[in-house]
Amino acid sequence: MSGEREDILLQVNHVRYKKNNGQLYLSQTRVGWMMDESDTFTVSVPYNDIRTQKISPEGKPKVQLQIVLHDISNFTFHFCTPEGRDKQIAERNQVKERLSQLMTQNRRQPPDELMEKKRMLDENEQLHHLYRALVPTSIISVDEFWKEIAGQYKQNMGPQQELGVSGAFLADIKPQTDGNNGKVQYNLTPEIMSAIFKTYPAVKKKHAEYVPHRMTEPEFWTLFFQSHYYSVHTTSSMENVFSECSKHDDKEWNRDVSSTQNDPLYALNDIYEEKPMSIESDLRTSGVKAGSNVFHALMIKRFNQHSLNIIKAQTNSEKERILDELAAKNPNGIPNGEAKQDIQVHKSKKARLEEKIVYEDLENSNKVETSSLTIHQRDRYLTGPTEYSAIHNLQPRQVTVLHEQLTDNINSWCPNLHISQDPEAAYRSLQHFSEMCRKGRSSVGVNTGDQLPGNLHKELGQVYSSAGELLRHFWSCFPPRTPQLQEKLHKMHETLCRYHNVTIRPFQEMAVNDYNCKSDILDHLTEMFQIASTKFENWKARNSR
Amino acid sequence: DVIMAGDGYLLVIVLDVHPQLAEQESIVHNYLSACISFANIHLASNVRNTLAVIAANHLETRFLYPQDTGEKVERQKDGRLELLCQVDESIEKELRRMMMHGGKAEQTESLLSGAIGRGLLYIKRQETEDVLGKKVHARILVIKISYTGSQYLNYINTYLTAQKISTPIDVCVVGNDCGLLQQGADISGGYYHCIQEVSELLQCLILMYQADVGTRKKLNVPPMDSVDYRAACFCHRTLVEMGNVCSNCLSVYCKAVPLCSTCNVIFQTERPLMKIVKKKK
Repeated sequence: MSGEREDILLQVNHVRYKKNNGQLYLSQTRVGWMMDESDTFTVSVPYNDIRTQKISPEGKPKVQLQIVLHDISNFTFHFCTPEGRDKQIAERNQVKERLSQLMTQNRRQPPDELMEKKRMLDENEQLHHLYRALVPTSIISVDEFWKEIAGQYKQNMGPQQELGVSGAFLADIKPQTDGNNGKVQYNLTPEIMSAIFKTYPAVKKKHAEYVPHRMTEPEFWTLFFQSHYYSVHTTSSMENVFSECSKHDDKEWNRDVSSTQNDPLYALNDIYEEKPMSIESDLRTSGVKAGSNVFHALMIKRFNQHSLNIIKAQTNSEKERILDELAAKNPNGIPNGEAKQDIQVHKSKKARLEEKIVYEDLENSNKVETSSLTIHQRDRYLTGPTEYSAIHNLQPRQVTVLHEQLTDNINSWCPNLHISQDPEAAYRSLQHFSEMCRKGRSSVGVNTGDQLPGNLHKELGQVYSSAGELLRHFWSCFPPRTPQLQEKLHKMHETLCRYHNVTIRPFQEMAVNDYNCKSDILDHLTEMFQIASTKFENWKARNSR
Repeated sequence: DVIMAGDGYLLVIVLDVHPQLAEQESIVHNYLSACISFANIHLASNVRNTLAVIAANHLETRFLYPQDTGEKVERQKDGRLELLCQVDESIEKELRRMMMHGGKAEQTESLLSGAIGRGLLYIKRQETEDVLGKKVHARILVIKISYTGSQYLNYINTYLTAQKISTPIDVCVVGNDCGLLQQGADISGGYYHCIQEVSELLQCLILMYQADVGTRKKLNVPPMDSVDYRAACFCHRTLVEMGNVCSNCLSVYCKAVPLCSTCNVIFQTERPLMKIVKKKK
């Protein structure tokens, strides 16, 4: 703790922790508390571990600040300057603001890069193997690894997916009632605010207009919670910030409902009618129409609006992202007109059905015109590229003669299957084939990959793939025309030597000693390394001249 | 393919009965007996095995077994299994009938490619006609004794078809090596062996060709020689390593020719570039 030279950014005296007096320190990377008359920090928490901080409410006698960590443990600090309560509050607020600043600062930097790297390793198993094979054994340094090898994998990564809005986010803002004054307290975090903005773009617009010039944040949010978004009984008599929003929302709601109702594929017209054949005890869409109890209807409508907006929030954000990507790709391009959004022309039912059952690219493609092949020498074409051998080429006349002979022979044939195989000849044949089998067997050793035990096989594969990756980088440096390539070439050569010593030799020894493999199991790989190092030597010799 | 215990194999024997057999008098009977014995062994080894025998000479190809005459299996005559007796008699009878058909033909080669084709069709028909629609496990065994040279296209068609329907074509050649059939065995996944003496034929067949495809994987079979797939040029009929191919009819030539003599297509040759005349100072 004391080893690191960290600058103390803020120091507050007279802060009590667990009934002991002391001082609170805020440095660049952590917050600490030291007891009076002590040299060491009793409490030392790096910013990354802190999840949130809380302050005691206004009315309480004690002025306190609480830090909550990711693992739910917390530290409570009590500000007790003898200079008076106001000073205590001021100090506490100062600490709180500074702390939140430092927390966001410290939080932002590593995660993005680290998360990205972690994601790459998770998505690419091969990259992960390479990393494990090369970096811990210090064959390649971490930076080099990420610079050289991971560069190619980056392009293949898919886009990072955004987190969607939780369906219950408004319900999760559990307001706390203060029994005494009847005041209700809502805890708003930036995440909840951004969720609200995503879900209700109208509110976002209003927020941009009103804050901070016309009203402060707390006022805005107080009005929000009093508005129709959060409570049923709205102060509808006043011309409120949010009454415009409610009109806008109602319009949008009507549009959505009508587009669903008018969709020709949904037959929604008769859900409220009395079915002619229905029996008393059957389930009916309850006789009460949705609009009969105004109060309930309003609540249900609000809930439905809320859910629909959450769903729309996700698709809108994706649309925005695609548009952003397009804009980034051609910055000078003239943007296309906005896609037709809300007012959809309803295609006829037939068109919709056809859309669902026909795929254009599976249809028969148009017939391609074929031209016929004219052959002038048929024999040649039919005979094909076969060898001509002069032996045994019989003339037709000879064949006819032989045929007659054969006919006579078969006519006089009395088949006797008992003597179909002469034992001596059989024995000779068996000898011949056994010889062939024996010859064939000796050439196949434990060398071939598919005869290795499972884990050795896998390890061999990994060794090959990491070695192959290194060799590929090595060979891509040739011809080394630029100084960077030459430098890389030197580095790769060193890396190869190190890899050879650290990984290949032990692997070979292990394979031979533990698994009884033939000693030439890695010959191919060593040969490749030899070729690489000879090439390097030659190049060095030629260039140093 | 999963082969259930109890499934039978269909063996289609394509038998070469080219008159070249008669060049040596003594071997005819030996040759035929060996083939028929092997057919018996196949049927006897599993009650569900089935058989087809197609003979080919330079004039025709003919199914020696089975015949669709609708004859009933005769009662036991001499202690042999009735089915085997029927097979033997059918083969003998049809062979004699085949020999009676004399005639002249232009080609002197055995029509083995046609016989293999018929065999493949028979296999396919068995599959279609099966009541349960099971896949028929079949293989073709070609026993050859004569010389082939001029039916490349037909052979290759049969090989590729066999490969497509996973039917290995085993080949047993008596006498001289035959590269064309060796290619076929390689393409379709069958065995190729060449023996010199007809007297060793049956033993060879039992040793190397009796086992079905599944069992073969577990046997310690001698490794097959590498097959020579080189093409021969159309002008000299010698095997070439690098050649020029006509893009129209795929004829192979050993050197660059301006005109393809098989399909009369003229090839575009590059015109030599004109030398750039240097400016004189």
